[in-house]
Amino acid sequence: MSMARRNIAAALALIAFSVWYALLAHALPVRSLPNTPGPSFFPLLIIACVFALSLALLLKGLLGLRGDRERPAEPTTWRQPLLALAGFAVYLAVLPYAGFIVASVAFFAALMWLYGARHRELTAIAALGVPIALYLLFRYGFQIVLPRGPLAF
Amino acid sequence: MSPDVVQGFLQSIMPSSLMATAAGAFLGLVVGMIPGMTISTGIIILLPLTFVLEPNMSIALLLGLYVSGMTGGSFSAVLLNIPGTPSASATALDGYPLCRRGEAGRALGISIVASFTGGIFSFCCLYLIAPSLADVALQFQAPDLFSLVFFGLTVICSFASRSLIKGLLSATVGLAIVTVGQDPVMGTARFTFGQAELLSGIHFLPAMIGLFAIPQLVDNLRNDAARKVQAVPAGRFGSVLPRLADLMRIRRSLLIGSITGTFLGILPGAGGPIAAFVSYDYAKKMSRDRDGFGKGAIEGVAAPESANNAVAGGALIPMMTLGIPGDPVTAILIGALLIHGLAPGPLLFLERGDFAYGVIFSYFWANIFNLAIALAGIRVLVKLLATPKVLLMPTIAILCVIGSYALRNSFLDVYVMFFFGLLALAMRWLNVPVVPLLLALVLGPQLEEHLRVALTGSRGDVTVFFTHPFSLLFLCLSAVSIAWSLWFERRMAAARDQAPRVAPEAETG
Repeated sequence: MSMARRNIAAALALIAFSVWYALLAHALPVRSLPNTPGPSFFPLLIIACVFALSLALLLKGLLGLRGDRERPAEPTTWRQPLLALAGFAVYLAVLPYAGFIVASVAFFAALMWLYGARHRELTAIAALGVPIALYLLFRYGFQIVLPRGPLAF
Repeated sequence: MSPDVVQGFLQSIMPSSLMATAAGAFLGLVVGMIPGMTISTGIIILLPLTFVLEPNMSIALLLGLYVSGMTGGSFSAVLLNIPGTPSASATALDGYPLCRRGEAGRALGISIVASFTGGIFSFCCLYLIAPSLADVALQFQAPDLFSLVFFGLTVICSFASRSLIKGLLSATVGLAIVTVGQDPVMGTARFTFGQAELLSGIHFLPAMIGLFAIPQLVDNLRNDAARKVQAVPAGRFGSVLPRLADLMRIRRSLLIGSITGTFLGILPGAGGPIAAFVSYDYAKKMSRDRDGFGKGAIEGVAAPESANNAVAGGALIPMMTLGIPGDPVTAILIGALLIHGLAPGPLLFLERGDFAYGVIFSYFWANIFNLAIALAGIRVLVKLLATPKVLLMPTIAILCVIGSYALRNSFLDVYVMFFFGLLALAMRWLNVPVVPLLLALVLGPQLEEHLRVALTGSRGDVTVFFTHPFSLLFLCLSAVSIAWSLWFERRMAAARDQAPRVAPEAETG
């Protein structure tokens, strides 16, 4: 997608966000002395700026459409990054239920595979060793309690 | 001599502080050296470890990493022609040709000594300027403070992006995000959707982790070159101790780099890469051997390296005295201090002068350790260039989660981290800079508080911002920075229009 089209898409999304945010800000309770700014003052001021800048970006995008041309396809692939982000999302969803060690071991192994590790034994050792070492370091070294699962760690 | 200076010095030479500084310096050299790791990411990963440390130890550790990270970036620039950090890009121009001529040790030695010179020069400026500037800043009232923060944000927007609109959009979206939670004046809940966890707002630390670390994880998956970095054999580059003749030859470049770096460091938003290239350009113009630049001139290594380390001390000046970060790293350092209940700014010198001077002296020790560890350990350190990304990146991913969760033992912070990571990727796709957003997250609450206090004091009269001299000065400077940015943008657009269209048009944002 060309940059002009990206700008238009972003501007439209921000305009929609501005309207939604302004409606929420407008509904905030009025608790202030006369002639002094209340809780909704700053949010409304900021969102007015976001709205105006989004319009400017939209205009810039529309003007940029003239003589615009598609950019050549990027040589790098997005497949692996998207898989990593999807894996990250699943990891975060599972973490509260499975606990730190169980969820992290699986996530670590998956990421290692995505980054190109193909040696099964080494991957298994690292995927077990690093999360457990980090758990012990933070739990007993820094007294930071990490999420516990049904196995109590 | 002020008792605070003495106390600060004594704090900085406590064994725990010195050990933290040395550890930070070692880690900084490693982080800076590895392509695909930035100093910001290194500091963010280390930040959760500092929750349990004393404030002086925390800041000493982070300062050590900040200073040495700048130097470490030059190692891979010289040895592999891959700058470890953006600030080391200019160093590669002459450092790598020196390496190819078999003079890698000479280039690395010059780079280490230049970093030390720039760092010590900026320490002197920090020590001399910061207390005086803090005294002036103590006179600021709410309108002045609002205009100062506003100036800091507009300068960042002007520098951070080739498009002013996108820079300002990044900052304003950040300001909109900080309105979530209780309002800073009356305590009214805003945009919390009934969630008690949102009452305290969106903490900037998980946001920072997401903004910097997630794109780095993605970059390292997309960039095969960064993944396949090989170590340079240690025996290949000879002695790293610079010769006296070389030191005499680079003295002018060192001075240019140190002055340029410190000045640009003070200016919010300019940062290391700009300082390095500006000083390289000046050093080239003032050299008798201009043709040698780009082919392995040692002055071309000395100028950018002294500049990017001088930036660190320069950036600490507005951070320590005004609470305005000079670059993303100092924004993170502000966050680190806030976690310990210490707010950088003029009041820090008044209320915790010992700590403020302790930070300044820790910066001095960070430069000393940087020099010592880099010179003594270079042969071992460069072996770490071969650190396998298959281990490093998953470890960073796990540390991001731990860092976000450990802040308040809340999964919300972990989800916030991931959300900001996705936001950073979307912003990159749109050519929108993340630095203004980051600064808005740090400075936003202050901006709102000072604005509302000023307007409440003046009964809603906005002319109060134009009748206070300091406020008027900062507003004028903001206008100048915006006008300069618009002028620069137009000039770049005109230059692009006049350029022959051989290659596909570059993204302009």
